[in-house]
Amino acid sequence: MPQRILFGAATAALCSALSTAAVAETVTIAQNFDPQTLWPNGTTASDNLNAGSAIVESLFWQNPATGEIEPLLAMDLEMVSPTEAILTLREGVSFTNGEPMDADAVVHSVEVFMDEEQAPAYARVSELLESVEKVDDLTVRITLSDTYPAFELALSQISVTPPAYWQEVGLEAFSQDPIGTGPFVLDSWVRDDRLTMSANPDYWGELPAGIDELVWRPVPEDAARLAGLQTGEFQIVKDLPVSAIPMLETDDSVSLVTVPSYRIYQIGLSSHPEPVSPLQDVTVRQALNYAIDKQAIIESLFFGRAFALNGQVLREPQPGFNTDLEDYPYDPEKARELLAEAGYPDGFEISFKCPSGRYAQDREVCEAVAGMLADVGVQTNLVLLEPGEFLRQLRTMELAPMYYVGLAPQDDPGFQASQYLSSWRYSPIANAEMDALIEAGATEADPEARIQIYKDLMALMHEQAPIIFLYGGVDVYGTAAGISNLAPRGDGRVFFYGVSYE
Amino acid sequence: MLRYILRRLILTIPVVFGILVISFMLTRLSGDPTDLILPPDAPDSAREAFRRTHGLDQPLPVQFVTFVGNVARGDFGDSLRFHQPALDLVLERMGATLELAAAAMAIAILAGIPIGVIAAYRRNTPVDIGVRGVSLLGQAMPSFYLAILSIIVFSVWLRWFPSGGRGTWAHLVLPATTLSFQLVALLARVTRSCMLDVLGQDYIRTARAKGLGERRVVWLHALRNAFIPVLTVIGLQVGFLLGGVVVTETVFSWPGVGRLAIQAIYARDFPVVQAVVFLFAMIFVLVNLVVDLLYAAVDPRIGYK
Amino acid sequence: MSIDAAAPAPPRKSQSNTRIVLRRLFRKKTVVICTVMLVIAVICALFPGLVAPQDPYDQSLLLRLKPPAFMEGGREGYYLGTDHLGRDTLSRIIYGARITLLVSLLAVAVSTAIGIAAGLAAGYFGGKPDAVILRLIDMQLSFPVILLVIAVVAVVGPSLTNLIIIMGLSGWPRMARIVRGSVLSVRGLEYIDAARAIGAGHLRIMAYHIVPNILSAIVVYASFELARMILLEATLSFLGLGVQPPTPTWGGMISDGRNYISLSWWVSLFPGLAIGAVILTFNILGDELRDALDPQLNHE
Repeated sequence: MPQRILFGAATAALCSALSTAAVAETVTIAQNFDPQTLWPNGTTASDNLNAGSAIVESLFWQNPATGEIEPLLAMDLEMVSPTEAILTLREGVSFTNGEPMDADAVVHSVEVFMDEEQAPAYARVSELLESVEKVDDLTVRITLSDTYPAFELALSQISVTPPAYWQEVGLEAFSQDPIGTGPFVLDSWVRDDRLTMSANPDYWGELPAGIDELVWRPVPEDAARLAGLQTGEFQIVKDLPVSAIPMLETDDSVSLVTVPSYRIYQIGLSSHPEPVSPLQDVTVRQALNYAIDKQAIIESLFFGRAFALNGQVLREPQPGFNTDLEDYPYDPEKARELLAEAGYPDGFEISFKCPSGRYAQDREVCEAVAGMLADVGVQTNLVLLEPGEFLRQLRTMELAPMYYVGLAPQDDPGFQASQYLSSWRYSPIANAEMDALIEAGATEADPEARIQIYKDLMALMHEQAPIIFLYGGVDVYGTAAGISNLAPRGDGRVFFYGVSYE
Repeated sequence: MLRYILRRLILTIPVVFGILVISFMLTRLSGDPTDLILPPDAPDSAREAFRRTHGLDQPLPVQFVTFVGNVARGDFGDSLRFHQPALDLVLERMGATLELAAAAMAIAILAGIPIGVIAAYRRNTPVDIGVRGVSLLGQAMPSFYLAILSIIVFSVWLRWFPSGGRGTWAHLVLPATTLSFQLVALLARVTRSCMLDVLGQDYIRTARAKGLGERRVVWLHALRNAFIPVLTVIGLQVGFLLGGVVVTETVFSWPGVGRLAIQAIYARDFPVVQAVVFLFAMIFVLVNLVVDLLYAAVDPRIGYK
Repeated sequence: MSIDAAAPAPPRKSQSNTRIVLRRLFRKKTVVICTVMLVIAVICALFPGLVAPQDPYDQSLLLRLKPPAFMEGGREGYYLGTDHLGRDTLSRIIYGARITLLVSLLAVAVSTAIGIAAGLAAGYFGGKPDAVILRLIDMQLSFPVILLVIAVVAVVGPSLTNLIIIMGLSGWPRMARIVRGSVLSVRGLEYIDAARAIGAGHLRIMAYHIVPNILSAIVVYASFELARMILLEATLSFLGLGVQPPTPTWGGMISDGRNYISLSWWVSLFPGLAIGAVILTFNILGDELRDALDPQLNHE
């Protein structure tokens, strides 16, 4: 009896292996989660956006290869004045249901984008958009309420939907069965199992070569995503566990694609009046920065696949990155001295909250940090929170005084900086000098002046140390041999423009 | 008999009500989901609107009455994350979960009971010790560890089975076996234990004395009488199986209710959690009603008052 | 159980009986081996500082994921290798014994105490108490335990006390049902009626005539529950809801080590073996104890 089961199963497995070999043009992508919505403006979660934007395209896109904002459904952007923009649309594009992609469609799409009831996830991005109107069939005017340095970035996030179909089915139905202009169309979707798309034969641009079918599979367990990559069940795997890197580096059938992430990992040190803690003293906050061996965390816990922050929250390619700054050196002696100076010669005890299972290696990083802090006398009471509870406490501001978090705002220094604005509900610090710089940067139209503002801000923030500057994350993707030109973006976005499979 | 069934069904009403109360309390204890569902930079007006749409601005007793009233009409409300009726989301995935649980239960019964009988009959022989050793190992390993090990061995090394997902029945083998492992061990233990009780009884000696064949004695007379506690355990383990799918489905990316439930708990998606708990409870209640009825079929001494 | 059913109140003089049971138990090699293992685990749990070669909390990222000392590349003094933070695996297993055993023992104690009380009351009195308790049991049993525990732990937080109480509460209905079932099977027997006839009170009957006769079922089930609680804690760790780090538990260690399973298998394997050994021990002892307690097997 047991033999028969095994034999039968082996045959069945063999059959399924053969049948997948027969359709080599199918590319299967394993991500952590099943999308909740395929309408890109319904969410900011990358696992949703990746699938959705293979179907529904946006006006522009930020090309990860160049870092530039490049045309997609819009051909050109002209700023008539600092608050008035003229968009020229691509000619001859239609949605897969036959509706034309024209000024009416774009006006409709921008209006939906601006409506915070329908697109609450983008409320902050669309804040400065005032109105949109059709000029002619291929021209649209957008009016802003103030100068908006990150306007192009905003345009790259507006997804264009067919107005008649949208009217007919409504937002919810659209997000489950979307129609767009993209390289793929939705075939079938078995929730939590597989989302199947096929190539759009009438696509206006160039289709990814060799990919007839795209299958998205939600695979929550790290080990299972890794296993599926090794067995060839998946051709593209998102968020591989870093612990697998040494093993995969020796595997010829698999290649690793690593991308510096937009996510900046930090330990929030709340200096607000409530809750009372030693962290209100800037000397203590600096001491904690000296106490952490950032390089050891990067080298050991991430096998070198993470980057040093140089004591600031802006990344090197971003405008405003301050080259004069460096990481606080690892110097436990100095940390102890500073603690003594601040009146804590024997250290102190403090609660330290940390998510478990939200970020790569989160538990390990927190345990490592807690150990290093213990070396200088700071005893932490580590509280691990499941991802949902962590998020809840983050949103209700119950994490203070000390917590580990990875923040990945949009790729503009303005969004990064505004996370430390005193009026921002989750900011760990309230500092008038910092506020002035952050607010100045948000509306400064002159690029050079803006860069200087952010450089000054980074220097000030470095000194104020509202956080322990830990490291910048690196996203690890695995691809099967045969996939080429896959260039994921630092925000976890995967695009298929130019990708090929053989 | 029919009256008994009817009475049992009526008796489940307070149970069902209790379940509703507990699941409502549990989900409300865990705080306002608004902050979790909406993005961090959603303005306050959007938060207000969200609370209003989902009735979260009402006092708790009012929410509860609305909730019970809706459930009576089969409406658990819309999922806060998916914006679809929670019941639909759960039912959509229920097939996958039942398939997995049924396969695991079948493996457990087909393997566990014979193992237990043989172990009892050949007590303290190498067969007994071997069988018990192997079955005990099944209980001695956390299921997630077993699951990950089996993926590494059977899909990465041997390439016998796919590493996850649902599809052909080759996909079913690893998750069902992992899920059943502890059950096999449990059933074998309980069967062995009960068989030992029964085999020492007078009527077995009488049966043997009458000259009945050993096989007949063991498999018919003894097993039949040892069956009641085994049946009880099987009924009780339905709950265990439905709970076990949470881990198994996560590791094997099986598109079932367990995974939906854990995501919903983490995201404080009340309606979905409530629908899952309610449906699981209903399945459990029904299975155990059937088990109770089976008692009478197996053991005529048990009557229905 | 019916061999001496005709005799009113089977004479169970505890002293001589205990000796018989113990003698019967220790005739077997497996029992001796298991007892030795249990004693080792208990010594580790009670005096980890005496046994452990290293400080279980002492981390060093330079020493991380070093293989066991007996393998190539291993470090002296780190007999079973180091984990992802460079802590000594052996020492963490030894210290982990304390929390792991404590949590599971206390959780089982909670569930057994409630379960026996509820099961006895339901089985012995029947009628209304039985109906009420049965409904309560049904209600809780019909909740999938894991979902219940996850939901509660997610809300109240995974402190040690919370975990013990919640895990304990999750287990009582099964115990209650086992007890109730066993009580039902002895309740109608003649010797109980006889005891009642000579005027024994309810409590006396339960304590002297019923409990001794259902003890084997309770012991077997409790041994099984111990194993289940250890695994439950491990599962909670897997879901990120177990005992808080850096406190070592075996389940937590396996869960942490699962990401390194392919290259650094020792991180998860050795705690896995520790769990396996202890669970095996509990189960075998439970089985043997059951056999030894069973008067019908005297003829052996």
